[in-house]
Amino acid sequence: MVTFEKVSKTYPGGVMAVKNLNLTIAQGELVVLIGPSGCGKTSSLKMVNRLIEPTSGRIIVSGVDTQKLDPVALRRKIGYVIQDIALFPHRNVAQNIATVPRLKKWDQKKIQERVDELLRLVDMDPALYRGRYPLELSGGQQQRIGVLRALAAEPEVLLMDEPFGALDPITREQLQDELKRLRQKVKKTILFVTHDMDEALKLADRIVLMRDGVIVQVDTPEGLLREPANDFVRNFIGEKRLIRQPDKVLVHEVMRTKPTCIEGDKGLHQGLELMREEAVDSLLIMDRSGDFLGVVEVQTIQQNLEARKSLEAIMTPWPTVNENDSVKRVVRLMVEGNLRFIPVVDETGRIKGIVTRANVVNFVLDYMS
Amino acid sequence: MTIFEYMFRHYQLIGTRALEHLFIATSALVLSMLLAIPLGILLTRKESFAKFVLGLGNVIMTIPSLALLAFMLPVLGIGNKPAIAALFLYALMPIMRNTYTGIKQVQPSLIEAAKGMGMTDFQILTGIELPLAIAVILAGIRTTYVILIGWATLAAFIGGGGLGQLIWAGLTNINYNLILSGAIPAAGLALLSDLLLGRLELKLTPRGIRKVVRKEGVLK
Repeated sequence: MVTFEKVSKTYPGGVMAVKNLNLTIAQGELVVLIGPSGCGKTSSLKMVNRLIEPTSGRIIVSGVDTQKLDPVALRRKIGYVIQDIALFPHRNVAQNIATVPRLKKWDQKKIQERVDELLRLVDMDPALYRGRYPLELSGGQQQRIGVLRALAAEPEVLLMDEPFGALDPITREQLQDELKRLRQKVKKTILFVTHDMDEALKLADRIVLMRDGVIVQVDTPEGLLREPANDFVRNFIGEKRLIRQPDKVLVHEVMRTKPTCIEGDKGLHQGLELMREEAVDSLLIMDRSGDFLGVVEVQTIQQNLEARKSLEAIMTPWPTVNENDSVKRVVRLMVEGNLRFIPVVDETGRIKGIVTRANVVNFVLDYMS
Repeated sequence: MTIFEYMFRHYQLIGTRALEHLFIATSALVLSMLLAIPLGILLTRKESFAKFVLGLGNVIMTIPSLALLAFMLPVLGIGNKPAIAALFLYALMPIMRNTYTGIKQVQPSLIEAAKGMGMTDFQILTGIELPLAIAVILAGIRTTYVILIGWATLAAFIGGGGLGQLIWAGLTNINYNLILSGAIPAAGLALLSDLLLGRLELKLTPRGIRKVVRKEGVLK
């Protein structure tokens, strides 16, 4: 739908904003250009509708080389939304939305129907909003109209230049959700510029990460999170967002410290008392120096309560993991032995903590959300 | 005999002079608008000329008004023509400058959005820039007209007629009533035109920005 072929842009003064850009955006795809400021993302976007002329290379929109078209005709085929919203303050909502249809000389009745149809698309009552002026609307409503204005004449491609950047966080999120909803109803090819990684991950089919005028990585949000190409990408995404392979996550990141432990030479009643105090159903048994020996569960104590035995005598041997083992190993042990928890020990066998099923599940949920 | 009785008795003469007066000021204003507004628009398109032309206009403004009238005499003779010519030159600058700044203060993002949606330069000018600049342009015209009405009293010195003639005659005869029957209508005309043009300005300001323009003077 949109193809960049070896596109470069050098500004007067020799600054090379975009260097040999090659990129193809498929029909109906939403591609996000992202990167630090000055990376060339906005220049690349504005070259599509020729607000900026490329120094070399070609940009092809629906099979036609943009250089072969009159810029005015080209722009009327491409929707354009900018950060400053820039609704015309002297024109009301209907007139603003009708900007491009009027330029294209649609007939009045068709224009009016289209305006009402679009307003209903974002749940704004046409009767109420048609005649309002931009300065009478909230920022969020203004940018909704900004998006509708860009969609009005059924453009083949939509360019969005940090469209939600000037909005407060709550409104921004609402409009992102609305854009997602809108895309299900009207399948548009969208080129979207932002510097907000969360926005990119939320909206993009593919993300193009740029730096110094070149593409560093192109991938789906999932792919970018799983396999960042290099440290720059990793830093830009932020460690917290990266999807980490389970075998790379270590036990000590997941475990709970200070599990309920008791020395093995204590009696069963003492064990039972401690369980009641700590509200647990199992105890880790250790020797005098704190080394792990085994596990006693509440049922085992109850079965043996008549006998005068030490905890050591009735405890069950239990697999353990090292604090530097991977979480994957914990999960495997839990599944194989159908265990609800695994004690964590250091190299010398001393108890360091415990990993429960709940810990593992919470950890996985954290990384999936 | 009070001044008002005096004026009432000579209302025909005062009326004639007032009409002459308005004719001088209005023709100077209209001619000036015809040149200054297109020139002001042109300057927004040719930034490099803007500084030079606006500077030249400032130079004209510094010539004392009476001197300028005198300069016109050898060229255009006596009568109202040299007066109109001189006032025309005076009016050029403020109208041109307000047209220029009025268009320049339109948010660049609006121009970019308009261009990005496929408006031609002419459509941007007539559809976006002029409607948004109209309040500033009209404000320039209004203050200019008020000043022209004041300065038109000087036309009498070069035989141009107008209310200045009554003042001039009154001064030479030391007739205060005569002086005042020139001065009061001149002041009245200035105030009245300020009021009426103010109304017009508000009416021609597009509805969507009227509130802001009234509060802030210009659209932010």
